[in-house]
Amino acid sequence: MPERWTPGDVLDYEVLLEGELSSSSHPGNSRDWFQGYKGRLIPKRIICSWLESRVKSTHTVLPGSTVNRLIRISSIVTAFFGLLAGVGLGWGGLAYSGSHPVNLFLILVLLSGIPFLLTSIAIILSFFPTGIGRSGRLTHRLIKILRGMVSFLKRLGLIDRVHADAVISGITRFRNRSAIYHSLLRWSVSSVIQLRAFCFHLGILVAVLWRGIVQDVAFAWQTTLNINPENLYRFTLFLSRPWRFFISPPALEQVEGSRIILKEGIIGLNNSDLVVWWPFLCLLILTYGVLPRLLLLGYSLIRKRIVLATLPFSDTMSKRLLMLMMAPRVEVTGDEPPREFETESSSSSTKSLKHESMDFQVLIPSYREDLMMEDSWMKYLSVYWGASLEQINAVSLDDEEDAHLLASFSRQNSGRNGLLVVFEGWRPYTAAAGLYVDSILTQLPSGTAVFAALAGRPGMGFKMEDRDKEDFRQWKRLLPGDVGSGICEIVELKGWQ
Amino acid sequence: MTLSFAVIGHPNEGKSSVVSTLTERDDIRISPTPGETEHSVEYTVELDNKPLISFIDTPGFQVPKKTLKWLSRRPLDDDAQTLSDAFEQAYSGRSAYVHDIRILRAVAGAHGLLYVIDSSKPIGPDDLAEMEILRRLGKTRMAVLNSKEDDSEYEEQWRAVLNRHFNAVRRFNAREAAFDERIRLLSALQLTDQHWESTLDKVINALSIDRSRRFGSAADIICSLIEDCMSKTIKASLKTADKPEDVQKSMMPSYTGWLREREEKAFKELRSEFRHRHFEMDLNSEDLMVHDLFAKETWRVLGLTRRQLAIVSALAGAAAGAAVDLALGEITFGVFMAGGAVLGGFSGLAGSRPLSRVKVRIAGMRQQLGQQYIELGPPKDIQLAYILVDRALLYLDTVSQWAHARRESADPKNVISSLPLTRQWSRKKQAVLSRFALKIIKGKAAEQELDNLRIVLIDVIKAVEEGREL
Repeated sequence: MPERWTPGDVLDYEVLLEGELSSSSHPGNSRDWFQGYKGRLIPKRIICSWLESRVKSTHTVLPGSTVNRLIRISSIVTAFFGLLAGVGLGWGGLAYSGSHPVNLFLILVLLSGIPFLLTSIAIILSFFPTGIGRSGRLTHRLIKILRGMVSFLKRLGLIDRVHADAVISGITRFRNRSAIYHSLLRWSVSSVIQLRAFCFHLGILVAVLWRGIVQDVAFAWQTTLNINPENLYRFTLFLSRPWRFFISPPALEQVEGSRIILKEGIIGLNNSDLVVWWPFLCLLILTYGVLPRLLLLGYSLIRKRIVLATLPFSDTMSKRLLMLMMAPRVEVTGDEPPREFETESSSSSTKSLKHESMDFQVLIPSYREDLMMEDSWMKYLSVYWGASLEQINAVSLDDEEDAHLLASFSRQNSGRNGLLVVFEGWRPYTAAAGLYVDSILTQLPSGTAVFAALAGRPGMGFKMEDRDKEDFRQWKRLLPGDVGSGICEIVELKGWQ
Repeated sequence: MTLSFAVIGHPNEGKSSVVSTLTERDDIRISPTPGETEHSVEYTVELDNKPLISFIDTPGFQVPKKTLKWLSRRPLDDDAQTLSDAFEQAYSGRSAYVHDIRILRAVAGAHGLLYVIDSSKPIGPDDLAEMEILRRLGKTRMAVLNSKEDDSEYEEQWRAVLNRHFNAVRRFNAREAAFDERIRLLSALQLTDQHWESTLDKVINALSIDRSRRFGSAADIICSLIEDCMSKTIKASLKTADKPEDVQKSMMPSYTGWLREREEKAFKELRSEFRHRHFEMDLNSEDLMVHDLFAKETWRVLGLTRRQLAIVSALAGAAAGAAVDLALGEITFGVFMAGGAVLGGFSGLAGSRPLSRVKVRIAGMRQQLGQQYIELGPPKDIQLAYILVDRALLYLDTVSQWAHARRESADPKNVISSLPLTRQWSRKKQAVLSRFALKIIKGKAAEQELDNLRIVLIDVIKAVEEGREL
């Protein structure tokens, strides 16, 4: 598990988390992993271990290491430029020609007053609960800047395309989840800013120290305001409170001695009074510039560390991940084989068998007593078919059981005899029916008119209910026979009462 | 031990439907055309990659009387495997017997049998032959009456016969069976054979845990939906010639479009959580309750009533005002609290129209330089959150109860009555959602509120599942 979380780890986690939750090709990866997990059942521990294992095993390019590297590089670059700016300001501010002393007020405001003001604002801001919220524009702007930076580095060739894309997609993901990580973003950005500010102040201090060591820098003050040396002395005493017990600030005489009175010029100034301000200035920058910024830097780093160390992983996606890991995974395996070829319909031919003037033997399943009405059959065959009924036979619709009946029908067949077999068309077609028809067709002389009629449910005659229509269609499709050669045709007994 | 059950029956009695619902596989081919299943296919339920139970979907009997006749000629002490092998040997190569060979093979390899019948049909001689075949094969077996309660006119007749041939008889309408019905079927199987108890216990336990996990996930999905929708903002640049009102108007379709898409994504996640790959429910049809997300009718029927919304908003406003009063050391004598309540109440009344209030902000540098932009969102009225929750729960309720054997589109009207919509929630529960939505709208972290909402949603979902009052 990552011993100490970094922003890069968080980005890696987000990328892997999204992949895990949206993965349909490898469902249950996390559960598999969890079953081998031996650590303590604390959500954060589990997630840390999971992340570590996933980072090791994934083939995806993760943004974490690149991000951490970018943060390091940007910190170094920022620190360097901060230092440079500080040195530049300090060096330029103390530019001293040797003919006129440095204006004390100007240098105090420039090197200490303004930076101190900015430091104070930074301190106040650091106590605000949030500057970067869920929908905070600052968050989005910062992320935009970060993305821009990465794109720029990619164009420069400092990051290869694959890693740059990984970082950009990671940052985008981070933006979508900024509601959760806004504190992390805030303190990460704050750390970089404080580092830059600290280096800036350090640069000023270094420049002032260097100037004082290598040059004989003289400071003096003059004012059009009604400020007397006593006031300035009291002010210096106030400013030097943190260190005056160790190093004394300029004494009142020295303050008075470093005052330029325009009409008197600088001739009468005492050299020792003019140089006494240098240590005071150094300590001022150290106390009100460098140290507060160092504290702010430390505070930001600590807050960032705390945020990383206390990431709660209580967001909905993390909870889903934990659930996926901890709940037993129920899966169902098994696949259907490809379909076999469809049986072609036997009744597709448009040619119909003739049944006029024929004598019909009707075969009805023995359990369909409701259909064994001789009068109805006679009437029907006569009116609708122009045929006559020879006999109604109760059959089992099993070729072996009905073999003797079929044999006798075959023997009696005079060429004018027809056969009408009633099947239950509301029941699914089975191969048994096919075998029965096959048996009839093989036993009867070629050219015998064999008809099949499909009965509906008991009591329904030959009417099909809507729920049975599919079975009926299936019968018509699958019942063997060849209408073209004159054997077996399915007929609908319309008009049956 | 992996238990296997062969699901046997006459063609088109719903064997595949039973397997589909029991295994939650909506990709199993089900058709009103008989004889669609040609091969025996084994579907195994695995728990953490360990097979626990499998259901073998078999073709329907094709020549049961002949098969029975053949069986009756065999020695009585032949076991199922011997009979199956001998039958295969006897009829191999005869196409009419192919399915029966496959059935006997499946039976021989299975621990138990589920004989599926459609009790809306009378018993036929083939059915009697099939039952006799199964009895002869000597496996523990249960008969499953796969038909609707109001479509089982021959049930008594069936039961009288089935009781003679089977260890247990159970009604199981595969097209309507919800989760608890599946569990009851498995529990009934437990009673048919003592040896199956521990395995089936594991299966039932795993399925129940998995079900709870899914509810948790569903709650998370809904929370994410609310979170995303209630914090959504979109931006467009504002040029010199543009009127902000016109730009705002032109942005609305893409804003609402995004919300609709986000909702659809949540529905998709819910579907996938409950293993529905082909499930469809048209929430944008013309039915009552299922209009478009931003239809007036949706906002009238779903979400809170005007009165409830006014109360909830007033309470939220009062809470915000009270915070100001407290911050000012209560020298304001509760003026802010009262003001907040009044404002909240009025805004609640206004919020019963579809997306009536969306935050609009014009920001950026000067318009002349083209750097100014207009930002739309987040939605300011919490009614949207209630509507989204209602629609998501409605969808979830349907998808979680929808049997995997059912392949037609869902009609939400059938499920709406059982659903506790947000307006039926207790005020406490409503307040949890309000607090969460308000925090999100304000862009504040809402971890605690999220947890509370999650608990409420799980409770609501479980109440629906368990059929208890909220």
